[in-house]
Amino acid sequence: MRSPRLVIILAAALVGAGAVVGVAEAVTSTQSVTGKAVSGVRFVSQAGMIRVDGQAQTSNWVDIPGATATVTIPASTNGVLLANFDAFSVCSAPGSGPPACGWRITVNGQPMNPDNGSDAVMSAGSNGELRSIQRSSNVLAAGTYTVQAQALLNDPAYTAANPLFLTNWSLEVQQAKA
Amino acid sequence: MRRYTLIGLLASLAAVVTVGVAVAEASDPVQTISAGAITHVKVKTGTGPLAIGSQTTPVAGWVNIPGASASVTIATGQQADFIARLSAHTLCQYRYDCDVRFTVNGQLMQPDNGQFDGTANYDGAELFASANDTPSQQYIRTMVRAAGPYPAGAYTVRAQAFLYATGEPFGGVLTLTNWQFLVETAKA
Repeated sequence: MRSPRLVIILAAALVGAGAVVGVAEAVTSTQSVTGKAVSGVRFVSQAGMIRVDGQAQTSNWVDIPGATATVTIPASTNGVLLANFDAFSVCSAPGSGPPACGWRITVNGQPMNPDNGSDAVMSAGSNGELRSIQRSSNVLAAGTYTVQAQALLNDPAYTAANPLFLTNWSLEVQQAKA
Repeated sequence: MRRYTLIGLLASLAAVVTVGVAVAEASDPVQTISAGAITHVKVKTGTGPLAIGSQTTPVAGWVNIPGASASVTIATGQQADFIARLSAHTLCQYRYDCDVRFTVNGQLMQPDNGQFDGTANYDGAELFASANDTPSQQYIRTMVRAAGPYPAGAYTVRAQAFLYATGEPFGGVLTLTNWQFLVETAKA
């Protein structure tokens, strides 16, 4: 069986200030990353339910506990990382203001693509649903990288943090040669 | 369907309250599967609509999703992990939850602690689609699971749905459109 050759073509629509002022003025850009064979996979998961708390009146992204994977790109090679995070998600708001939760995935602290600064906002409210996001890195040099799923649980406009409940979550990271 | 959506909203509100109480004892340890290169990929797709289940003549328990399976052989002397994902445009009718799980030769893929409650509304353990779907407002869902390592042998990776529990007044129907079931085999 020949190893499947992975060709990654990413069209990342990044919406800028248009999100605030209206669709007509949205700024869109695209990125393309090409990888080769997938050489490794990390699958991190947790059965059952966890609660992730935010901080009131800040817009800080917080780590989803345990949703992290470390990968190493061998010396003298480059790599591309593909990540997927999925979970049954309930975003609730104990305080005033509409509920909103966001997810993003970072590599060594930097958001993976696409990222417009306010990733994957979910106005899930009280409705629990299965959610997933897929992200990719730029071409990375040799080294050790930490992939981390994060959540944004509140917004400065709201008066309280919004707890996020995740059930049966998983973080999958595929490592492709570049 | 409006009635179901409203009921669903109320049910999930109640679920959130319950969730806050039960969290501390509900989660299992984090598990990690570290696999090597992906050596094999099998993909099943269908444009649908693929309707699973029946409102009037339902089957209780987990039922196979027709076509959403893959047979994989791990060669002698090898070990492998499986990663599976189901992606589809969904419509869940006549039931709060349309649940889905993946199995390898009948064994659950992760994450799954086997504590699924088929009679609970909005049991997030296996929920794939819900009564929040309506014919005019559907969503694309993706579920990812993994399992392994497995020794050499023949394996069937399968997606199953739970749409009816004994005693319920009628069965649910999960309709998948433009669905894809992908199984990757990676060296362990």
